[in-house]
Amino acid sequence: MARPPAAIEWDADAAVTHLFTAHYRPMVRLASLLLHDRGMAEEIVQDAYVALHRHWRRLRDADKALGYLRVTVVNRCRSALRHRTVVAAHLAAARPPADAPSAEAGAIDRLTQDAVVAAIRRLPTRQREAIVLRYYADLSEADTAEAMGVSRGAVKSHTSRGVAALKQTLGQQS
Amino acid sequence: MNHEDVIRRVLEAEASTVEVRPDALGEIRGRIDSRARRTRRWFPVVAAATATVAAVAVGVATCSPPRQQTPPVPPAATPTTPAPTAVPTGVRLPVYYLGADGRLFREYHPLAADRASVDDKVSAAVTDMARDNALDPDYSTAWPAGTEVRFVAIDGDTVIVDLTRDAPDAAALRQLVWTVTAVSELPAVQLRVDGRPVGEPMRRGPALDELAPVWLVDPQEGAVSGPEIEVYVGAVAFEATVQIRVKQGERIVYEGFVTLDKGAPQRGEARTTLPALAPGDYTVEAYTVSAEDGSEQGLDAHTVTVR
Repeated sequence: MARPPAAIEWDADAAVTHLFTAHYRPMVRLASLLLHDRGMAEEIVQDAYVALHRHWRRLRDADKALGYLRVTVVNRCRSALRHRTVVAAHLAAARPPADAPSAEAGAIDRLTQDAVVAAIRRLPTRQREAIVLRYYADLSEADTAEAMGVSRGAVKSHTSRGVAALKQTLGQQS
Repeated sequence: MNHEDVIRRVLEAEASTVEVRPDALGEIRGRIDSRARRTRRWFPVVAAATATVAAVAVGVATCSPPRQQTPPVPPAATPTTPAPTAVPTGVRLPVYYLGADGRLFREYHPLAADRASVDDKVSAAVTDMARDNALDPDYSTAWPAGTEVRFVAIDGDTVIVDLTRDAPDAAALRQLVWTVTAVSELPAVQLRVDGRPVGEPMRRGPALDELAPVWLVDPQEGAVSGPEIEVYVGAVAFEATVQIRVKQGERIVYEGFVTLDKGAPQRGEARTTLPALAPGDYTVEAYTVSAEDGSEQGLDAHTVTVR
């Protein structure tokens, strides 16, 4: 993995390069799930790397830096979503044409896939964040709490409410 | 397949359709360079790096670090303006840092103290203060690394804060007193170190002496804004006038001023909305002009991204 032995000290430039290599695409995908706007997702993640570079002297180690990237991305996605008009303008373009489902989709058919994605998009922001961080990024409750800037209890309740809301869609499809 | 598994698969399938721009690293480096305004040499990314990206693309999961003790720097999330005196509801807490001349600036940080009691909020804010987590790189903390909060308790109108380290200087105490009194809305702070009281309960000193003369409260450092940046300043200013300037790189794209609700020696406030700016990175500056020699004083500058 991209974590260096503890003895290696990165400077800010090296940190950006290493963290880009290891985490850039997953971060863009994470932001894309939070925002449903690919272009803006990538902009936000790039912003987060630029901010990371600026703050490197305080972060210094790779673990802190990854946490910093995540918090920055989640916050900026949330902030971008508040500008609803911007999001609405991008929504039409956000969805790619439905070509062959990817291999990972496994047993889930296109209809279910689209219905669940649409339902996730309709969730309140915090619930969507909790669902995406827990089930896509596979973070622990504690790491999710840190990324969202809330307590673990809040993560629990946002997640369970989100899953409950999605169950209706899941129930109709299965 | 249970519901959680379906959600996992749907998210993974959806994410797998998202690809990144081919020269994303070059774009990021370009933005860092244009911000730093200097030539830098980047070492090349080896071809294997691309393969690494593919290998970890199954999720952030694979890259999850072991739990760390220190939360990362919470970035400024929004250009919203918290009330200057009250602790906002939710999780944005006021934290005070030192400027270059040892006077205080305040930032609002999103902290994990959701629906918490006053002592939890004080604990979260003091922990952040001690960790040098200021968003603005011009601000710093006087507290030594490794300062931890042992506990916080409320006794009447005094907040007892028990730390693992003593304050190294008076500036550190000013940071502590302003942070704790702002978060708790109580007037007095009793410092303890490892359970033992240090000195008497402390109160805020005069704002005129202890606070930096000009605060660019909003936008905070690193904020993302719509085209029309909302500016909120607090300052002690001759004739109640604070200058506002916006730069893109070294180019000045806006100059104007705001009139505060109170003039010096009182501390006043003002809000204004700037004319729309094109998307990009900007520096918003607030400062006063000396009545004696016309020099610029008390500059507080924050970088802002306009979308």
